[in-house]
Amino acid sequence: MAQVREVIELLTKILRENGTTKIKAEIFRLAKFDKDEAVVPLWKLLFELIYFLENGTIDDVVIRAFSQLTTEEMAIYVKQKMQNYGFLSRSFSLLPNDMLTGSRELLLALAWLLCTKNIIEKFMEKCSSPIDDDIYEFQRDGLDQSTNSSQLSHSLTGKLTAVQKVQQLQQLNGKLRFSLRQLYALQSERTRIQHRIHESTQGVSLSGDKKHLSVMEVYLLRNPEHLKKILRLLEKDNERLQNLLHWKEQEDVFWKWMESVLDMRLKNLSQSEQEERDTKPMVHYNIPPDIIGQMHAARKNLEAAIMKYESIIEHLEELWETKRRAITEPELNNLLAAINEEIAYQRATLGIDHEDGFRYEGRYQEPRLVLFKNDPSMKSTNLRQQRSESNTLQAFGVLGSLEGLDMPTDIQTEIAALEKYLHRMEIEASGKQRGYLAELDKLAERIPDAICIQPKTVR
Amino acid sequence: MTQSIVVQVGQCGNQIGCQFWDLALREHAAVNKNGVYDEPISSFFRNVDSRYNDPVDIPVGTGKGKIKSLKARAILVDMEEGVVSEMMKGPLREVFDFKQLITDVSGSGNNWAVGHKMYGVQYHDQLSEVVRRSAEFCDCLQCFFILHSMGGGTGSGLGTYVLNLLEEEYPDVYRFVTAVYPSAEDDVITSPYNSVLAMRELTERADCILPVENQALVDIVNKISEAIPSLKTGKRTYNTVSGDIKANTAITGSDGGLVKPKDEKPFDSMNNIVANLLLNMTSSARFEGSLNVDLNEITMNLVPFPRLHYLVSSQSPLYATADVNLLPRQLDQMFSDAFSKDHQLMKTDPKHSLYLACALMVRGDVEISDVRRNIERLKGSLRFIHWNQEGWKTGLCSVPPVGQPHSLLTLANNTCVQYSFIDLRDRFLKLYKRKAHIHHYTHITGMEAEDFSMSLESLNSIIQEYADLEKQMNNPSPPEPRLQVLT
Amino acid sequence: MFLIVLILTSSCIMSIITLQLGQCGNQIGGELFTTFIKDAHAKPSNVQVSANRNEQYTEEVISKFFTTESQSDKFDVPQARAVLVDMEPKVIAQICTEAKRTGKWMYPEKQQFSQKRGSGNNWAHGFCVHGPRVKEKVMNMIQQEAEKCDNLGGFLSLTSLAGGTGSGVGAYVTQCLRDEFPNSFILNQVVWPYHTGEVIVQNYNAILTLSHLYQSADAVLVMENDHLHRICTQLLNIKKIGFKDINNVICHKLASFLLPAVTQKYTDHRRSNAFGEVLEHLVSHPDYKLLTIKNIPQMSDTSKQFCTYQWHGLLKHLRQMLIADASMEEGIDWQVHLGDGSGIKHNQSLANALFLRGKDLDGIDVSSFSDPKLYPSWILPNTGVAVYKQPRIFNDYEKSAALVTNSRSPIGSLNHMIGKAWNMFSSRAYVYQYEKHGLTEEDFLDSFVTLEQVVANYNTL
Repeated sequence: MAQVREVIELLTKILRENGTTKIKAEIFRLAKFDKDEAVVPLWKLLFELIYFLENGTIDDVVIRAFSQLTTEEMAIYVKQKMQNYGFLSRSFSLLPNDMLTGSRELLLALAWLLCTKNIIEKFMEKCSSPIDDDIYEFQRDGLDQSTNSSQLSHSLTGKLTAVQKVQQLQQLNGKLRFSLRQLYALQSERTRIQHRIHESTQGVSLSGDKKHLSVMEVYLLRNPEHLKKILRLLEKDNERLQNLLHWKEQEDVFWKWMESVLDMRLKNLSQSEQEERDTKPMVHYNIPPDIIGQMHAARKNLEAAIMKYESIIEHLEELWETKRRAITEPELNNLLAAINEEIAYQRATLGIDHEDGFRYEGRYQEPRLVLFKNDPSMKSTNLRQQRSESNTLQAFGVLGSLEGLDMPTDIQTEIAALEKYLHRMEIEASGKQRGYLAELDKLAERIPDAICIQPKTVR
Repeated sequence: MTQSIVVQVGQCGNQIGCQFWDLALREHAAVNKNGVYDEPISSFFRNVDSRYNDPVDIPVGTGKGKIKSLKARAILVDMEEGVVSEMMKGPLREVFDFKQLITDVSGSGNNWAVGHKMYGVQYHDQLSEVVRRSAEFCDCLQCFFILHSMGGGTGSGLGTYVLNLLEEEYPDVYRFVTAVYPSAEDDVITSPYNSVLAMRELTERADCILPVENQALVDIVNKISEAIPSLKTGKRTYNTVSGDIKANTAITGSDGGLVKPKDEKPFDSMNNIVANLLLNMTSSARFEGSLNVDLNEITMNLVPFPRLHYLVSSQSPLYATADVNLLPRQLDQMFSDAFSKDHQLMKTDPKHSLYLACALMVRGDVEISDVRRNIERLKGSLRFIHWNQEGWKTGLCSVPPVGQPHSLLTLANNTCVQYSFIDLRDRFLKLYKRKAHIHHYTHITGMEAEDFSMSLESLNSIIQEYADLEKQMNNPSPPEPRLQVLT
Repeated sequence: MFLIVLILTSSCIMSIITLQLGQCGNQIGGELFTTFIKDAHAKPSNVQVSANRNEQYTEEVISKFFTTESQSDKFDVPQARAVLVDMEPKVIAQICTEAKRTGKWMYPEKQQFSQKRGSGNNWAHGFCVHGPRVKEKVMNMIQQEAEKCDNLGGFLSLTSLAGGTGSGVGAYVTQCLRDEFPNSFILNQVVWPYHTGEVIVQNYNAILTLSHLYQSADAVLVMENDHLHRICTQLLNIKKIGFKDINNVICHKLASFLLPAVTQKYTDHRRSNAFGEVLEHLVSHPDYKLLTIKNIPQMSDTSKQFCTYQWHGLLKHLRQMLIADASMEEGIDWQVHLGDGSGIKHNQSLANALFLRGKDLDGIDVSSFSDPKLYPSWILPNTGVAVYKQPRIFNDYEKSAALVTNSRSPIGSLNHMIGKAWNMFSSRAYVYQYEKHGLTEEDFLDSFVTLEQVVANYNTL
C-alpha cells in the first residue's frame, strides 16, 4: 500500500504542477471508502480538468468560476460534460448536486477521465523548452493588464438619446479600427525583426533543427541577467518532466489500485440504491419527458410537408415544361440569372456561417517565420514550417479555417475560399446598401425642399 | 524650369523686344556673376557653342556649366527690314541667329488685312517652321510672349495671325500678348480699324493680354524726366556691377546693357517700360522667392471668365532714391504709387472702377508682412467685386531688379479697361460710319466686310461684359443660399 | 554579436515618413527636419537630462524621423525619412542644398520628384492631371521609404490648402496612400492660407482639398496663417515677418506634438507617443477629423531666459485658450466659462492630447482638462484627455505645453471659407479653369456637401 500512496502523491504533484488546486493524496484514499470529506475537492478537480480539456490551460478564470458558481450549477456542468465525453455511468449521473456525498463515484469518474482523455500526455506536451521564440514572459510584466470593463459597461447603459448612442458606438467602432491597425503594425514589425534576427544569426545555432538563433536566445545574450530566471524555469520544467516520467513508470500501480476501488464499489452497491436509481430522473440530460411524442409528431409533420411540396413541385415542373417552349433562350437566361441572384442574396442574408463553416474560434498562435532553404536535412521540420507559414498568413489578416487541421492546407484553395467568402460579403453589403439608400430617399421625400445627395462613391 | 519664347512682330514689337533682350541680359549678368548657365537664364536663353555652324544646345545639367554663347529664345518677324536689320547690325546680333528671323521688304501699309490675310497665308509655313524649331530647343515650353502694336499693319495683322497659329499648333502653351494701343492722336489714320480687328483675335485666342497705351507711356516718360532732369545729360556708366546705380535706376533707362547710349532711339525709354513689365512679370517664375508665381498662376488667379483677360498693369517705383533711410516709407509709397492713376500703363483709373482680381508681384527685400500691411492699408480705397472681396494674389521674388532694392508690378483685372475700349470704339465708328478706307481692306483676298461688323460686335460684347460687372459695384446680386445640412 | 545588438537598438521605435508636397509643404518640411535635428543634438546640460537619457532620446528622434544606415560609407549624416514632391524644381533644389549645408542631415537622394511645370494654383490641374501622371513614380518612392522602416508608424504629409500642387497633388497622393497602405496612419498637416492675399482661388482649392482629405486621411491638422502671423507679431516680436518665421512657428507646434514623450499608461515603455495611439485617441470618430495645436509659452529667444513659469499657471492659460478658442496666450477671453449655459458658448472638444515638456513633471494636476463639460455627453467618462510627458527641455523653454485638440476650433474659419467659395461659385467665376482639367460643377457641389456636413457635425458637438 505504501507504494500506492507514493504513486498517488506523484499524481497529485503532477496535477498541481499543471495548475490544479492542491489536493492531498489522502483524499484519494478517503474517496476509496466513499468518505464525504473527499467529495468537494474531487468535484473541484474534475471541474478543473474539464476546463483544461476545453481550453488547454488552467488559469485564474477557472478558479474564479469555482467560487462564483453555485454547487448545483457546477455539478450539472460537470455531469453534462462527462456525458458528452462518453462517461455514461448511471450512478455518477445520479450523484447528489449538493456535493455532500459520493466521493467514490467521483474518484472513478476522475480515473476514467485521466485514462480516456490522455490528460497526462497532454500535460507532457505542454512542457516545452522555454528557449523558444517567445520572449513574452519577460516583457509582459510592465504592462497594466487591468482593463476597466465595468466602467465601459456602465457608461454604455448611461442615459443617452438614440443619436448620442449612435455617436458613441461610431466612436467606439473607430477606436476598435485604430487598435486593429496598431496591432497589425506591431505584428508586421515583430515579423520583420524576427526575420532580421534569424537572418543575421545565420550559421549560429544552439539546437540541431535550426540554423540560426531564436529571438529568445538573442534576447538572453543581450540580457544575461535573465539567464538565472531561465535556468529556474528550465529546472522547473525538468522536474515536471521527471515527475511525468516517474508516473509513466509507475502508473500501473495506480490503475491496479483503481481496480480495487472499482471492486469495492461493486461490492457496496446496495439494494436500496438499486431501487432508488430507478425512480430518480436523470436531471442533467435536460430532456423533457414527452420528447418522444413530440418527435413523432414532428416527423409526421415533416413527411406530410414533403408530400405536399412534392406535389406542388410536380405541378410546377409540368407548368415549366409547357411554358418553356414559349420563352426564348435569352429570356430564359435572364430569368435564371435573376433567380440565381435572388437565391444568392437570400442565402447571404440568412447568414453564411452555416455553410462552409468558416470558423474564427481557432486558437490563435503566434506566427513563426523560419528561414527556409532547400536543405534535405530539414525535411523533418517541413510540416512545421508550412504550418508556420499559414499562421503568418493569418497574422496578416487572412483568417482561415486552418487551425485544427493537422495537415498542411493548400494556400490556393484557402484563397479561393476566402474569395468566395468575400464575394458573398459583397453581395450582402450591396444588398444592404440598396436597402438603406432606398430608405434614405424615402426619408428625404418627407422633408420639404430637401434632396438627398449621396456620396459620389455610391452614385 | 520652364521656358518661354518671345515672338516680336512688326516695328513696335521688335523695338520692345530689342530692349527686352538687352535688359534681360543685364539682369542675368547682375544676378549670375559667375557666368554659369543656370535654370533662370535658361528660361529665356539657349546656351550654344557658337563655333559650330548649326550648334547643339548645351543643357543646363547641374546648373554649373559655363555660358558659351547665349541665344535668345526669340522669333523676330517684320514685313519691312529696317528695325530688324538694324538690330542684326547692333550689339545684340550675337544673341539672335538668322534662322529666327522672318522679314519682307514691302511692309503692310498700316493695313491689318495685309498683315493678317495676305502675309499670314504667305508666310504660314515659314512661321510654323521657325516656331517649331524654337520650341524644340525647349524641354518644357510653357509660354509664348507675343509683342506687337495694335495700330500698324504688320504688328496687329501678322501678330494676331501668329497668335492663331500658336493656338492651333501649341494649344497647351500659354499665349501672353503685350499689345501697344495707339493714342488718340495717332498719325496712322486706319489705326482704329487695325486695333478693333486685332482685338477680336486677342479676345478669342489669347490667354492673357497686357494692353499698354502709348499715351500712358509718354506720360510716364515725361514724369520721370521731370523728376530726374539729369537723366538726359548725366554721367553714364557702362558697367553694371560697379556703376553708380542709384542715378541710373529709372525703369526707362537701359544703362549697363549692350546697347550703347549713343545708339538710343527716341522710343527706347518708352519701350523699356514695357520690357521691364515682361521682366518683372516673369521674375517670380525664373528666380527663387518665398512665394513663387508661375506664369500659369497669373491667368488662373486673374481671369475669372475666359474672355475677360485684359490686365491693366502698373509698375513702381519708377526710379529709386539714393537715400537709404527713406526705405520703409519708400516701400509703402511704392504700393500707393502702383495704384495711382499716373502709374498705370493704360490711360484709365482702376480706383474708380471695379476690381475683379489683382496681383501684386513684388521683387527684392520685401516680406509677406509688408505686403499684408499694404493690402490692409489700401483695400479701403479700392473696390472689389462682391464675390472676390479678397481677390489678391501675391508673388514674392527675392531677386530685385537691377539697381533697385525692390519693385512692384501690379496686374489688375479691372472693369476700367472698358473706357479705353469705348474710346477706341468711338474712333472706329467715326471712320466706319463713313465706310472710310474700307475698300483698302476688302480688296485683300480672304477679307470680308463681315470681319468689320463681327469685330465691332466682339468689342461691343467685351465692353458690355465689363460694364455689366461694373454695375454690380453698388448693388451686388444676392448669392444663392448656401446648402443646408439636415441634422 | 555586435551586429545583433545594433539591429535591436535601431528598431523598436516607430518611424514616420514625411511627404512634402508643393512649395509650402517643402519649405515647412525642410524647416521641420532642421528643428528635429537641432532638438536631437542639444547638449544634455541645455536640456537638463542625464547624458545617458539624452543619448537615448537622440537616438529615438533620429530613428523616428531619419535613417542612418547607409549602403556606402559616404553618408554618415542622417537622411530624412521624406519624399519630396513638387511640380516645379526650384524649391526642392533650394531646400536640399540648405539641408546639406547644415552638415547635420540631408534628404535621401532619389526620393525627390519634381517636374518642370507647376500646377498654377489650379487644384484640378494638380489632382486630375499631375496626380495620375506622377502616381507611379511617387508611390514607388514612398514604398521604398516605407521599406526602410522596421516599424512604420505612419505618414505625415505637409501641404498648403491654397496652391495647386500641394493641395491637388497632395489630395491625390493621400488617396493613393490610403489605397496602398490601408492599415497605416495618415496625418495631413494643412496650412490654411491668409484670409486674403496669397492666391485668389484659394477658397476653391481649399474646399476641394479638405473635402477629399476628409475621405482619405485619418486626421487633418489645421494651421492658420492668420493665427501664425499674429503669434509672430505679438508673441515673438518679429517686425518683418516672412514665411520662414511662419514656418518656424509651424515647426515648433509640430515638433512639440511629434517629438518623443511618454504616456502615463505604460511606465517603462519605449514606444512613446506612438502616432497611431495618439490618433486613436484624437480622431477615432470618423465624422470628426480636424485637429489644431495650441502651444504655451511662445516667445522670442531673448525673452526665454528671463522667464520662469509654473505648471499650474501654464495649464490654466492653456485650458482657457482651449475653452475660449484663443490661438495664443495673449488676448485670451477670460469671460468664457464652461457650460453654465449663459454668456458666451465655450469651444467644445471631442478629444484632447496634452504634451508636457520640461522640468518638474511629477504631480502636475491635469484634471481640469478632463472636465466632462468640455466634452460631449456620449464620450466614455475620463477618456477626454491623454497626457504625454517628456522631462527634456524643448526649444529652450524650461517648461512648455502643447495641446492637440479635436475641437470646434477651426470651424469658424472653415465656415467662412465655405461661404466665400460658395459666393464665388454662385457666379461660376473661375470654374471654367477647373473644368478645363476635367473637374465638373458636380465635383464642386460634392465638396460643398461634404464640408457643410463637417460644419454641421461640429456644431452639434
